[in-house]
Amino acid sequence: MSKQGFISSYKYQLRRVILMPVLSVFATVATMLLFVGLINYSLEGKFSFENAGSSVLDLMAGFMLFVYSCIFIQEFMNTGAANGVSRTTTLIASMASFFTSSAVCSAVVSVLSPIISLISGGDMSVFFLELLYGERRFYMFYGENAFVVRIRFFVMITFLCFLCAAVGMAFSAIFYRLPKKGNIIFSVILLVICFFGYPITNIMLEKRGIDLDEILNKFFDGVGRLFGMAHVNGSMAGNCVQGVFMMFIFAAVCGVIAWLFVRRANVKPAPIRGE
Amino acid sequence: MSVIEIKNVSKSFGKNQALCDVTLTLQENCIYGLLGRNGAGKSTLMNIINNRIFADSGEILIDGVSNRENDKALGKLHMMSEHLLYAPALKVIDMFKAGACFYPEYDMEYALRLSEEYKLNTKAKLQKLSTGYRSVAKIINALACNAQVVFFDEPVLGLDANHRDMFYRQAIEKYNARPATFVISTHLIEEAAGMIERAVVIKDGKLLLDEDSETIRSMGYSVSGRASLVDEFTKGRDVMNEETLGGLKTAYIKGNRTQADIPSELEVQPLSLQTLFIHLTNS
Amino acid sequence: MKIKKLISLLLAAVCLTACAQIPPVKEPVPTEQQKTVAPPEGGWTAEELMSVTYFDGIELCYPLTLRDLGPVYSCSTYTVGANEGRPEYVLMKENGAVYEEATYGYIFFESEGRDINADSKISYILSTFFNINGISANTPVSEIEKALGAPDSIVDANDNMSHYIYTDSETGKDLMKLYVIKSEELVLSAEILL
Repeated sequence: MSKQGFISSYKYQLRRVILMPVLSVFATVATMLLFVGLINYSLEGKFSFENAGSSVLDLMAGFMLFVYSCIFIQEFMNTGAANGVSRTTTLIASMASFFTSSAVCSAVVSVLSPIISLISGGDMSVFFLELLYGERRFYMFYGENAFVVRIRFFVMITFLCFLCAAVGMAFSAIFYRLPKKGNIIFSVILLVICFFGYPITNIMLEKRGIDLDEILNKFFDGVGRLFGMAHVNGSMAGNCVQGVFMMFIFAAVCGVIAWLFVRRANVKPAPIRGE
Repeated sequence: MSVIEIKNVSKSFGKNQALCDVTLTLQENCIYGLLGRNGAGKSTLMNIINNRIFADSGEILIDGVSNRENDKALGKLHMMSEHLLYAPALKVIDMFKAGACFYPEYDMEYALRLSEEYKLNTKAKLQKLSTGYRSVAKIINALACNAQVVFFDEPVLGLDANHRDMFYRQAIEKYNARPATFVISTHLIEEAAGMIERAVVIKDGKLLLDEDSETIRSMGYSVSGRASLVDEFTKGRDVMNEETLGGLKTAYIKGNRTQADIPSELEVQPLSLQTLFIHLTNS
Repeated sequence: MKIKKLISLLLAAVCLTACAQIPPVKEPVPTEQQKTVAPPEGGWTAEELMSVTYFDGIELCYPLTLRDLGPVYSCSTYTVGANEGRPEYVLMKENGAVYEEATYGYIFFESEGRDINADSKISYILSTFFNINGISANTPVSEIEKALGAPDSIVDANDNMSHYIYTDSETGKDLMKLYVIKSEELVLSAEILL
């Protein structure tokens, strides 16, 4: 990897990816507010944002990053190849650019959430991470400075979005590497696992007297313990530093998986419509 | 300045052997014509050099350093390929800006000036351009990047005669103003012959010829005149090709013409690159 | 330099994630290890009573705050009515599953509204999860006097419920109220007023 190659890739990618997830979050929130307004108008005769919630806005932002990383990785690989940059450098730059985009998205979510609460007149809306690591009001209840709590959740949401982006990168890298037939087979396998994996596995294990739910509960407890989540600690508060650290580690693992797939991948030009 | 060494490179796609043990050196500051019939392996070779696909065996060294996943080596190269590697929804101007991001010596002013000359709409999306204008956009990008080695894979694909002429002229101007290595792969050999300094011919994945233009020209000659006189002259000589039009005939003969005793009634011309190419790749 | 500054800011922000003032989870004391004393002759003071009172196995103290209970417990953001003019909150426990809380009692605080935090003094707590000097839910009525001494008064709340009231020996104010089911002669819950 060279510094010039990394910086060039990072600048190009950031230009492409920084605004999209943010605009998507804004668009989703604006659409939600509009619908709430219209519903309130139809029910009560006045256009207001009462009862507009913004729960799990952080998870939504993470989902956006996942989607956009899936969309953009192929373009980044091709553009890097077209301009004399190695796949490794492109991938590392992608991690950096998606991390930056995650931070921006997280900042937007952190600002939007209290604004929506304010205009809807409701309580502070709940982030998905609050369900896992304790609510913001809980930390402030324990005397923590509101600024510190907000920074804490900003960092956590950044890493959550980054992890989602890294997972998207890994998926996209697999599709980039595989030929057309392989992509179809992989897609079918994914769909089968998503829709039929649980019931099929449950039936198979039941015959052997094994309770799949118990195994899954143990698995999710293990995940919770690994990520320092509150509910396995028997507490209202989780270990946020452990959570952030593990999200970073898993994102790095996804990055390595993506690298293993793309390092020997032939460049795949995107098809042009009509050709 | 960069020297590219291609050492024993082989590549196959399934049962198809695209390249077979190709060894070649691309010297600095030279315009190469990379020639071959359809499916000969020209694009495969260029893609391997530019790290877009990987050789099954052999290595590519750029100034003594392997090109594989090596930014420092790859940063010296740029390839204008048949396929579009940028996002189709990207605008032309954004493609130039991307090039400027990656190549520190990218000349944006030059790119915009050429766009005006070609009447290329820089605000148009790449996917909305015709095949010809897409080639134009890629050509301009390649000429403006100021890389040390620039590969052109079918640069004139879809270009009209005027645009083709502009390309050849601008490529030579660029080369004279800022010497670099250009490697041009094209099927329109006659058109490009004037600018090619060294020809590399690939046939069935193997390197057939790697010579400079002077040597190629001295490899043979053509004689034209009355058919009977031409037939008389060509007896016992290595004739590559013949063309007959009414009572007139042109014969393409292999060998050094200065040594031949050519009758004054016959018109003698140096051998064209295209003729030699057809002869080499037909036999 | 810009990158170094950004990285420093990021590291500082990550460090702030660690600055939690949440106390560690308190381990409940097993019933057999819970402290019991002979009931004081003149009656209980708040401090004496709290020193032998356990809530869900957690040793209590006086004054009592939510921080003393540990981060497993929290109170609701909403009030569930008013008790003698004071807003009453639900005392909740994290139930081991994500976002599932169980009600463990009712409390109110000395402070009100936005002033309430984990360090606010709890002035009232009603729960079935007490163990007060060996008296807990389902303890027979016959054990009460032995453990806590004779109540200062017994009031019939309704046909089936009596309140065994103990007053603070220092202030003379009500200190503790045991809810007793008359028909079964069993303790149901306790109310402590601090």
